[in-house]
Amino acid sequence: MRRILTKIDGWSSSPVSVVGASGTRVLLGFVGLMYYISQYGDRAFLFGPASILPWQEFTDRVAENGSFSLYAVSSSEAWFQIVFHLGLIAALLVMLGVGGRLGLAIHWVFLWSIYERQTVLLDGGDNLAYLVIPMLLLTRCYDRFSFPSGIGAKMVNRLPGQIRATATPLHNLGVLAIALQICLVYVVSGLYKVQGKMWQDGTALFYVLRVPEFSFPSLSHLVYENDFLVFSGTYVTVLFLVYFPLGILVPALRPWAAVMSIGFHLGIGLLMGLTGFALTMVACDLIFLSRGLEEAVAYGAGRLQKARSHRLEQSSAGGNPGSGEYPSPEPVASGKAG
Amino acid sequence: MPLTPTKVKYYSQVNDVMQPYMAQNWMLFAPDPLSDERGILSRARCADGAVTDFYDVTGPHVQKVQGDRFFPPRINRLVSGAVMQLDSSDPVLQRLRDTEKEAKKKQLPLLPYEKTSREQAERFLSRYSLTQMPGVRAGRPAAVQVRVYVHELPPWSQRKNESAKGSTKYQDLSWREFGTLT
Repeated sequence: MRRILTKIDGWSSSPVSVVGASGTRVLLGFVGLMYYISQYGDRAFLFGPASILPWQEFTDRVAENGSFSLYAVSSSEAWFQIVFHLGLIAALLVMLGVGGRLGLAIHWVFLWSIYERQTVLLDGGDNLAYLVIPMLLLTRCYDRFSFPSGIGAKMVNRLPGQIRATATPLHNLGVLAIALQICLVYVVSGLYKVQGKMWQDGTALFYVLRVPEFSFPSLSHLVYENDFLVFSGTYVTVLFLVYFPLGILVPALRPWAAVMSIGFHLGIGLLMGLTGFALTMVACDLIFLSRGLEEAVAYGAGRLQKARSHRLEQSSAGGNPGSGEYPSPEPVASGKAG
Repeated sequence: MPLTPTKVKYYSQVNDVMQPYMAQNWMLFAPDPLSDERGILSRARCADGAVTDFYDVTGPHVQKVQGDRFFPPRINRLVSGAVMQLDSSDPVLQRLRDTEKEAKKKQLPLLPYEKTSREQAERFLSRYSLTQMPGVRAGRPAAVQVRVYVHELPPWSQRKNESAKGSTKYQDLSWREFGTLT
């Protein structure tokens, strides 16, 4: 009993996966931003008051579902443009780490609103995004890769100590909720697949990769014309999905399960063109790769620092730019490096 | 979750809690992935009774998606989603109809909500087609008709047979008057 209490005490006083949660927030912000950018040219046709889904029909559906959407507030063109562009800016700020968790909550409101405006465009990635963002609100996902304004820290300092003490348990609870959610996604989709004849036969990849909507003309045929790749790809997919939670439960296997999942989803993104879905899944996998992500960022920062110092040394060794035979090729860059 | 007796028993209560903000669907190309090419063609009827040729509404957008791997535009999903909606049903009803079909019994007719859903999808496809046919909208068409096609790609057993092309089934939706769509 004492060991259990010690474990609970330790778990509620030491935050887990802070870097991972921050990475999840950055990537979800990026995917949200790209949702706006990739539909930018068609925004009036898809989401505007004169959209292909008439505004009145849309508001009726929102009311019927007991939901809400900022796009349902007014049928004016100006309102639509304001909401759309504010949503785009909110997503950008989440990606850049500006605005804190209040900004993340605002991003969710805008994202939910645009999803409701045209539900037929959505896929599993969007579904996961609107589920995970509220969980992310519990976490310290702005501790890294962000530009803190200091306002949040000042406000937190004014809170009573008892409330501030809940920050770490709430963070860990949020991380746990995301981990459980991603395990649920894998297991349920794996269970659906084991019921399908094509997945049982080991031929599902052959069929799905030929559908024009999900086909990459110069690459897909290399997979679906190869019997071994089709069989192994289909069976490994099902086995991986069903057993993913076991990989997560065993600490030694956890990073490998997450890396495999990232590779699997990047493959889906490339071969099937489902970039938003793939990157949303990768974003959630980062929860399990906090240490690896921290090491990768530290390594990248170290290399960058080294390159900058090397450049500085070279520019100072070159002496006065005006004294040589040729002018300095990069006076601006040299100035920046300094 | 896949269809189980527990799901059937508690679906309503769970649904009340989960909808709309925690709704989840993780079928993700399962139980059977999409294995055919689906799309629509459409044609318009002018006020003088002249009828245009069928126009491929789906093709141009699918080509755009194939040419863009990095966050391709999703506009093609307007058609694929609505085509799926035409025949979408509750899993329990679907299983019941499949059993009736196997036993060569008369199948359960569409329920009122299924009829509404189908009607919405048909109207949507007709309205969308009108915006896609070059020059037709400006020519003030009187009506539009959508043809849904399903091209069954050659099966696994025919994968080495280069002459195998598969088969295509068509379903013509009813003509829709222009005034009822806008």
